[in-house]
Parts: sequence; structure tokens; C-alpha cells
Amino acid sequence: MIIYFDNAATTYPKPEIVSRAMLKANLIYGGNPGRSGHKLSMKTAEQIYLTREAVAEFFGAQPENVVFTNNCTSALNTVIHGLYEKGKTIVTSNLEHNSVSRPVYNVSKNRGVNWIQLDVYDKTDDEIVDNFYRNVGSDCCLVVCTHASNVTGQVLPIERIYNVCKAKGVPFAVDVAQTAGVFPVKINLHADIICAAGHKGLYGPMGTGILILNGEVLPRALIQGGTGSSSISFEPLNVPPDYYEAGTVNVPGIIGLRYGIKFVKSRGLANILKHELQLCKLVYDNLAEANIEIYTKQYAKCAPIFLFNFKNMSCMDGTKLLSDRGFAVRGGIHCAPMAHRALGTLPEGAIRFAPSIFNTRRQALDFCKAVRNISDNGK
Amino acid sequence: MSRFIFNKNLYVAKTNRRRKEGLIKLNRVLKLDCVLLDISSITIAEKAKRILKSNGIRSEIRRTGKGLDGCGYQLKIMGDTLKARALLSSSGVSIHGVSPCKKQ
Repeated sequence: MIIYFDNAATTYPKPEIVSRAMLKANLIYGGNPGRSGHKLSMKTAEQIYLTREAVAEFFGAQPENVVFTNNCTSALNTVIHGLYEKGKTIVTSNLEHNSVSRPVYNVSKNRGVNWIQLDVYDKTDDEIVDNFYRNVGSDCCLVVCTHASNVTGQVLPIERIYNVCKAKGVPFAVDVAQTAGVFPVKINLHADIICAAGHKGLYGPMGTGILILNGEVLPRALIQGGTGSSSISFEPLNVPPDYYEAGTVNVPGIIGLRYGIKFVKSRGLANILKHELQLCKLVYDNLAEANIEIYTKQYAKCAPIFLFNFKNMSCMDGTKLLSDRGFAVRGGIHCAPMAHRALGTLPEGAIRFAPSIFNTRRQALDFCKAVRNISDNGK
Repeated sequence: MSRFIFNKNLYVAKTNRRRKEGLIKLNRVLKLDCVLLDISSITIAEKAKRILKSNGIRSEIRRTGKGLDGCGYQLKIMGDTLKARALLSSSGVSIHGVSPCKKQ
């Protein structure tokens, strides 16, 4: 049986209520929502709306400004491709995941957009905010950055960054893939736009993501298609969420997501974060003297991630040996080459330990034992 | 030849009665106890339904082929429709059209 510590990629296991809700969705809510007038379609539409309400309440938004996407990457692509302006600048941090850096690179290479990456790694909050203040100006069309790095765990001061962007009149979008479900994030307090993964800290199923708008900053839609209303016109209905949700939505996933959020709220964000950080600290303290390279710093505020490498082998070999011993962790670049560049761990990357609320102290201690065993014996 | 004698009091009384009936009919049109509101999307219709429900007003979402540009949704409101429309308006719900419910 595998002990799963790759929750920064996706949480596993999911709460039982999520799985049961998805099964029920497949059995009962089988109509296509927003397409037909029959009872099955309407009942399913109501379920989708209930999830919109739950997400809206969680992030302080209005239900009609909650857009369901396939994942956080889709949400970020909608924002970046929907708000870029030729000749203008997009500002990001230098810790971004490829879900930010690749679309920004794409528009900078192909659409005449300038891209500024601000060095935030291991800087203080004041230094970071000052850096954004100096670089965000009237020539910017968008500032987008991660709330917390999926590699270093460093949490950025997004509320202060947002205030800088507001003062400068530049839209600010935040990637909360690593923080939704452990840190409170609210629209219009932390950002104009929030992009979240449904399947990580919100304990929803894979294939779900959320784009949360404030109703004022509205990107162009990434895709066009059937929305179930105003179908005569080739122009789609240009109000959220329909404008951004062309095609059939992931009904079981969205219903499951609602139960994931319900689970998170029942446990409490602070409790979940405390539990996960305690496990990371336990691992850090237990492995401080081991023959490994530790990259995780003890920030005052950080996401629950522990990053390391074996000194005597590649991170992929180390990950394989840990997997053979029953531990699931992720080795490599974690789709975040900029962060690894800042850390100095390119080109190989590192091994990431990321616990969830379902992991235990016993499991973390067994993990430490396995790491020490591998580092001492080289196999 | 019959002789018509004008009874002013009777005339006034009948006129007032007819006027009253006319006013009552006018109120019925304005304060229809069943209307259909054209809503742009299922999401807005669901939102509207919840706003009304929390204020004790029953409503039902229906599919229509006569929306803004073809298919769309209508909210059938039963009860105090004036209050319902005022509630939705103050909540920022866009209504694209109003029509009385057809009598079955």
C-alpha cells in the first residue's frame, strides 16, 4: 500500500463524501445542465448552481462570477490570453509554475507583449512589495503571480501586491493552486481574479478548476461554443459564467468539488494548515542531520512543502527508491523551472514531500526512516 | 315612445362603480399574480429563484425558445409579482422581458 505524499500535485485520497457525491451525480444528475427544459436537466443545473454558491461563499465572490474550468492551468490561460495587450507588459514573479510562465512566454513571443519576472525568492515581504511597486506601471496590462511556490513553499504577500496593482490601475490575478484550502483567499481583498485548482487543497476531483472574477476585470474568453442560451447569434452571451463555459461542464467533478469544499470547511483551513506544517516540520527536524541536501527554508509563513535531494544520487533515482519502499513523492522540476533556477537545482530538480490532512505522524516518521536508509546505503 | 328620464344620482353611482371596476382591472394587469420574466442564463435564473425564495416568493425556472437570441430561460413568478420584480432589480438581476402567464 502506497503512502501518498504528493498532495501538491493532487490530493489523495479524497474525502469519502466527495466520491459518494460523484457516484450519486453519475446515477442521478445525468441531464446536461443549461441545455434542456426537462426535469433532469433542471435538477442537474440546480446542483451546478449549488457548487457555484459554495465556491462563491468560500472566496467571497458572487455565484455568477464563478467559472468552472478543467484545472487551474485553464483558468490561468483564460486570464493571460484574455487580458494581454500588444505592446504592453505582464509582470510575474520568478517562482511561477508553467501554467503561468508558458502562456506568458507564448504571448511575449507571439503577441508583442513584454514580460518582466521579478526576483522574489527568499526576499522579505517589504522587498517583494517594493519590487512590484517599482516595476508595475501604466505600461502594464496584467500582473499575475503565485500565492505560494509549489517548489519552495514561499508565500508571497499578495494582499499588499494587490494594493500596489490597484493603486496603479493594473489588474492582478493570483494563482492559488497551492494555497486554496489552507490559506483564506478572497476576491477584491487579495486579487481581481483568483485561479484555483479544484483537486488540490480543496479536495475535489481531478479535472476541476475554478476561475473567480470580481465582475469588473473580465478577460476575453479562451474558447467559444455552445452555452445553451442565446444560441441564434454567433456572438456568445457575454456575461459570466456562460461566456467562459462553452461546452458541457464536468458535472460529477463540479458536484464532487462542492463536497470537497464542505470537507475543508468542516475541518477548518487553519487546522489543515497546522497539521500539514507540523508534518513538514517533523520531517525537517528528523532529516536535518541526514545525508541529504535540504532546500526548504523555515519561513514565518509558508505552504506545507519539504524539498530535498539525496547527495549521492539523482532525484529521479531517489524518488524511485522511495516509491519501491511505498512512499509517493514527486521528483524533478515540478513544472516550475523558474523556481528551481532560483533555488539552483536545475537541471535535475529535487524531491518534494507534500502532506495532506490525511497523512499521519507515523507515516511521516516512516518516511524519514526510509530517507535516512536510502541516504546511508545509497540504495 | 318611451321617455328616458335622466337620473343623475343613479348615473353617478353606476359611473363610480364602473370606474372602480376599471381600476381593479388595471391593478390586476399591473399586479399580475403570475408573470414570466425572461432571464439571460440558467445561472442568473437560479440566482433569481433563490433571492425570491428567501423572500417567500415562489418561482419556477422554465426553458423558452423566445429568449434574447433564441433559447433561454424564464422565471415563472407566482404571487406578489411587483415585489418580486423590485427584489430582483435591487439585487442586480437583469430581466430582458416580462409577460403574463398564459391561462391554461
